[in-house]
Amino acid sequence: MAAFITKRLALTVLVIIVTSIVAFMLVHLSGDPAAAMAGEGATDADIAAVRETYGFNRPLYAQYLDWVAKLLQGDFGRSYYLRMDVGDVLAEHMPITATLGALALGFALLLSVPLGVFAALWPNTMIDRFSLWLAVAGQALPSFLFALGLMYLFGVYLRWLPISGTGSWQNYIMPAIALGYYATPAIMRLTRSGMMDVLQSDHVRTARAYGLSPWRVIIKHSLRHAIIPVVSLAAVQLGFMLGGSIVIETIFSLKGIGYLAWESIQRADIEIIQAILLVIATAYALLTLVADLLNAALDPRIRVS
Amino acid sequence: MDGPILEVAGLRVDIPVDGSTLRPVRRVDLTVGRGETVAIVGESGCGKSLTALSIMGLLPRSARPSSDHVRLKGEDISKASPRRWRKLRGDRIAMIFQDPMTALDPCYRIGDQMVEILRQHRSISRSDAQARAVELLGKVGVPTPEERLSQFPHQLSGGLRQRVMIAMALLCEPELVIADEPTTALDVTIQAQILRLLRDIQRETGIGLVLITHDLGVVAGVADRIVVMYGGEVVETGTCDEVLGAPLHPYTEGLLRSIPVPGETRQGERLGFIPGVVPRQSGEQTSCGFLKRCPYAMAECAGGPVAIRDIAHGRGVRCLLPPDPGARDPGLWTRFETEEVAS
Ligand SMILES: Nc1ncnc2c1ncn2[C@@H]1O[C@H](COP(=O)(O)OP(=O)(O)O)[C@@H](O)[C@H]1O
Ligand SMILES: [Mg+2]
Repeated sequence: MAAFITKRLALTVLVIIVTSIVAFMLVHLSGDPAAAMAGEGATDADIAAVRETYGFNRPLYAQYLDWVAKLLQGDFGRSYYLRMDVGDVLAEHMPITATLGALALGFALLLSVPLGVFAALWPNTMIDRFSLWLAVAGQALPSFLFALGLMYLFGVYLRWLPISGTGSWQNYIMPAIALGYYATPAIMRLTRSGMMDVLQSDHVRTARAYGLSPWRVIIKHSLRHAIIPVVSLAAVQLGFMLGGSIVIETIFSLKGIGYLAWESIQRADIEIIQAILLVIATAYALLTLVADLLNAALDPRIRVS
Repeated sequence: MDGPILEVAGLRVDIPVDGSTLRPVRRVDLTVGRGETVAIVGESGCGKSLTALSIMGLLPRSARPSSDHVRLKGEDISKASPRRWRKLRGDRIAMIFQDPMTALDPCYRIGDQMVEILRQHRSISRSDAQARAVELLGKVGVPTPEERLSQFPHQLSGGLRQRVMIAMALLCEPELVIADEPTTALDVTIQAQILRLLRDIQRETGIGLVLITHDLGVVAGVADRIVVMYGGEVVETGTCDEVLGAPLHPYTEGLLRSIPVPGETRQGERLGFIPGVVPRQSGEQTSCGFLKRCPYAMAECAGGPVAIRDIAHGRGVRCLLPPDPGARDPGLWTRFETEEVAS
């Protein structure tokens, strides 16, 4: 187990390092950072001065190491547009996206895993067809359309939920559903096919042959196996959701990372875009790590040799 | 009290498959007495597993079983409710499966799987259940049973896992154990050990044992009686000595010819075999099921399905030939094989 964790951790760190290099290069390849910083109408002398002050004339690797050293101390640099520390900006927006992502994933899992299980237990029945229909609809409908539909129904027509803002928990309901629904079809289909396979397997036949109660057979001896690939998929889907939050947060004016990214791209606030890239990639790597650890906990063949 | 443990009469299993109906089990009668080992023997595909699964109520969902009755100690279980089935399975009838590599749940420790079964059927504390598991693992020859409790199936060899399955089957002291090809997936050296273990356990506990195998060679010394199946039917029954010593059905004869006899079969000598393959069983029978593979086939054999003929108590054969193997010409087999190889 220790060896397994060490190996996975090393891999995660490697992924984060590679991403940080990409994020760093982003700034230095997207133009001359000194010219950008000096602003429009700056003379060559001004730009040279900026270059000198901020060390842009040093070798790239030295600048990179310097940047990483600062990152490790929590110094993400400064947004010249907002005139704020990037770290502070992130700290303000990140919890909102984290909450949204967790709620969206929770919604997706609560909807799709039970549906997948029931569809596998009673294939070709009403419930199976209903979940298939739901999956097709989820795959076919662009998420912004679905979000607008929700907004119209619950926000404008029924007036049950606020249509925009970040103030209360009610603001999260529609965005979480809109974002989570997007992940539902894949998770449901994978749960269904996984359950169909496991229900045919020898050890489930053994569990039945020894008179174990149906729920024990279904949850303990079937779902535990079927859920293993779903865990990995859910991690990937949550990563997609972090990406998708750029659309959903903008539609619902939820001031999370996605919203911030949208704004920062518009005003070419490269420091913030760089930090967001790094944060999302790190989150992605950590999610994969968590998924692998969860799988190891679920399946002893991964952790015990 | 002294009646048979298991009585199966007229068992039949139909499986509808795209438009037509497979009939993999057609008419199976089977009786297992107290303390008796009955071997069900036949080539693979002749319906042995489906017979076992119908006795356990574990047929695939698509299968349609029917029978005159399936009695466990007098109780007709063929129409039992799912609830009643769950009470019986694991407690009064237990089953041992062919592949010990996949029959145990890889996600749970051996001890937890055994405790779970015991506690499903008995109100017993966890520690008592564990003690019982250790006792049984010891009894079936698993070394250091306490340590095995906390091991996962993949940490054990195939032979050990099959011993664990046997211990699992014995947990609740069942009256009947069905072992479906329990040694087929194991190394040859382990096979004999497991069979001996099953025989010893059966003798010690007095359970009824149904031993299913495609290998007539392994039943001698283990089984009391043999039921030979072909194409979903019982074609011959008798004691072990009767069936192995004086087989009445040409199919049994053919099976015996294909077993290597130690000392008698010389290196390089070709074993006999039964030409042809087990036909796919669909539709109703219009002739003897073995007709196409039988070297002694006569015109009457094509006349219609053949009924089982009782020769003596517990001795029966589904064949129109006179029940006198000595009167047959074994040379017919050789000629038959040659034609098969030539064609
Ligand atoms: N679920 C099923 N669907 C269709 N045919 C099946 C199914 N299970 C078994 N069969 C068929 O029934 C026949 C008997 O199978 P089985 O009882 O497993 O044979 P055995 O155990 O003697 O090898 C085989 O021809 C097999 O193909
Ligand atoms: Mg079989």
